[in-house]
Amino acid sequence: MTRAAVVLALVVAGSLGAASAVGSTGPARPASCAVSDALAGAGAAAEARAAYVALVPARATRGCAVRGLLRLTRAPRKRRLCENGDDQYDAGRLDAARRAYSSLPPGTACADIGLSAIRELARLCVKGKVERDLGRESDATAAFAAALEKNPDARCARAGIAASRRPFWLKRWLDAFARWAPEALAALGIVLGASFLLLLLAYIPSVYRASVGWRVVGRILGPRLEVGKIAEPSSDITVGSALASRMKEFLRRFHDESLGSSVDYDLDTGTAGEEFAEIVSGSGRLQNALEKVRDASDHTKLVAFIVDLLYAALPIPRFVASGVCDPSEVNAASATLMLENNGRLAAAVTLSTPADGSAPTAADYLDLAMPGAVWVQYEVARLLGSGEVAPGVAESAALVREGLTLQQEGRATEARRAYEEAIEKNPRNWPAWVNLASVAARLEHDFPAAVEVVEEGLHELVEQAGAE
Amino acid sequence: MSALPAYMTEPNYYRLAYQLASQKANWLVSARKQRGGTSVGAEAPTPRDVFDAVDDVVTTARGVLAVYSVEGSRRRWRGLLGPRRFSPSERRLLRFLETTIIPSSLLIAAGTYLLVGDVESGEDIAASIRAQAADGSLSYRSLYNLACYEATASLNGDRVRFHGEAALAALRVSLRGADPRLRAELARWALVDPTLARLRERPFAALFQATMARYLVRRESGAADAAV
Repeated sequence: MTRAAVVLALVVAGSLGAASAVGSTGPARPASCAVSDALAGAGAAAEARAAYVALVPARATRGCAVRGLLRLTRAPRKRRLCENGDDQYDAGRLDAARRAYSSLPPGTACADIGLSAIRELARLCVKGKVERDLGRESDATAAFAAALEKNPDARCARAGIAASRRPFWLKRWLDAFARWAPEALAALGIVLGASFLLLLLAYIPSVYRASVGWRVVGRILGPRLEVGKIAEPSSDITVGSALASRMKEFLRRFHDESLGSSVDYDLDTGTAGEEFAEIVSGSGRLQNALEKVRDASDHTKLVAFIVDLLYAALPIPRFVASGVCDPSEVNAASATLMLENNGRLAAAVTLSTPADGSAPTAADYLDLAMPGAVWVQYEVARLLGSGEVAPGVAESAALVREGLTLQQEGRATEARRAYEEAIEKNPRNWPAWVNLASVAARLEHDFPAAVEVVEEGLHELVEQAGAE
Repeated sequence: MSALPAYMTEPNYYRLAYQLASQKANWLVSARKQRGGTSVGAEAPTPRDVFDAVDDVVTTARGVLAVYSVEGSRRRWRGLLGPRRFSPSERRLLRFLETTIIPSSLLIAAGTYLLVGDVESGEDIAASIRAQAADGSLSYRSLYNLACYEATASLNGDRVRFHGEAALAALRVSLRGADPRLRAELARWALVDPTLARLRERPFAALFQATMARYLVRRESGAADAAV
């Protein structure tokens, strides 16, 4: 003990004595154990013991002096050991606390209390673990929480609570979702309804043309073309399905040639690049799904009906090409094709092969597939362009396709004629200019003519492009 | 692309511009042959005309590539979105310019240099195209033009075998890579193409015929040839 502590104790004791002197009205009372108690309280055990011993002879102070001496000889030892155990307990180190309490003499009250608290904590932690192992998470959490109430720093309880924290989060999220799901679904319904109403605006042609270029809207409202049934010419020649399939194949090829990114441009020949309709069959994925939904129950029938109705209400240009192979009354194969736009007849044409004096065969009818596909393609382009694609333009592009076939077969004169006619019908048919020059150079070896064609075509192209 | 005139994004413009350079070069060659190589006809184009035509198409194509390159590196919406993605038709056009129009046009210029006796300038151009071919970034059509150049180069100089074999190799790869529908027509043209005449002579004739035979099959009807 330091000198300062002793001085402080004496000052405290002195002030206590003075206070008692001022407060008393009777004769002066004998000196009490205040100074000794102050010294003992300040930890100056030796000085306090000496002071108590000095007070023992006096009768008035003997009692408090003896009690003070007893406190000095017994209490500090007991208190120090329990403090150690208490410190460990407070820090949540139960094992260390148990050891500290157990090291005290049997019957030490504070140690018994401490050990009892430790046993209770350990019991709660074990209960929590057992409940968790049994899958009763809420009971486990309650046990750990009870342990924490007894000792907020109990390590086993903290670990138990930490382990149960994640499921808590998930549960909270699920609860929140369940709480908000009706509102969220209602909001989604409102958004979908508003989107549907916005899509209906595309019934205005200018809005349709402006919006169909956007990827998402284009996928929903993009034109659909279906090649339907083509009736057989007779019971002997069954060629209708084959003709329809071949027309589909040609249409797909034209589409890929013009819009596909995987195919490279050819340097010497050009193909027409008009607006093409996406080819879809009548039984699309959506329709198949709706069929299955319809079969499920009466409720889903209603849902499928509503979705069907909404889909039908969208301003999607739906084209259906169908036709009839004409009976072979003449010596040529011919077929009448029709194109319907949203259920209304939009165009019709009769195509025929050149008469060669013999009865047409199935192969002759199949030769109509290419001109048939070209006709369908350009009628669709014309209808989609609201009249911007004039009939002459469609014919011009069809002539380019015919010229390409002739060119590939090495029939220079006929190919040249086809291209010249194509340019006559539509001077802005740039592939026709390119192919005409190619025929002049490659098949006729007439380089001056090729240069002349190219110069004229280039002039026209730059002029027209500048005017647009 | 709004910054460019409409015709510059029209593939047919490049086809026509290339054809102009190509047919002028063909005309020049044919006129020289008719006049015994001494002079050209009054109205026939001069080598300068061919170079100018090549310059026009190459400069325009490179300009378009440069504009798209800048556009492609620019980030959208103040950098929040990534760089602009090109549409399939834009990508197709850029590929067309890069792998077909520019190399094919440059090879016309290289061939014309050979014609006027400037072998060094021709080889300078051809070297870069050969490197592009080695990278596999030439279209079948540019490879065909490379074959034509090599065949012409084998006519003069002391590297006859080198150029002849290079021509045959380029021709083979070109035919293999051509669209099946166009392959037969290209092979037929190769049989009579005046710029490949050297390959139809010794010592390359046998190899040339073998290469062509792989890509030409005569139909029984004799109406047309078809690709293998």
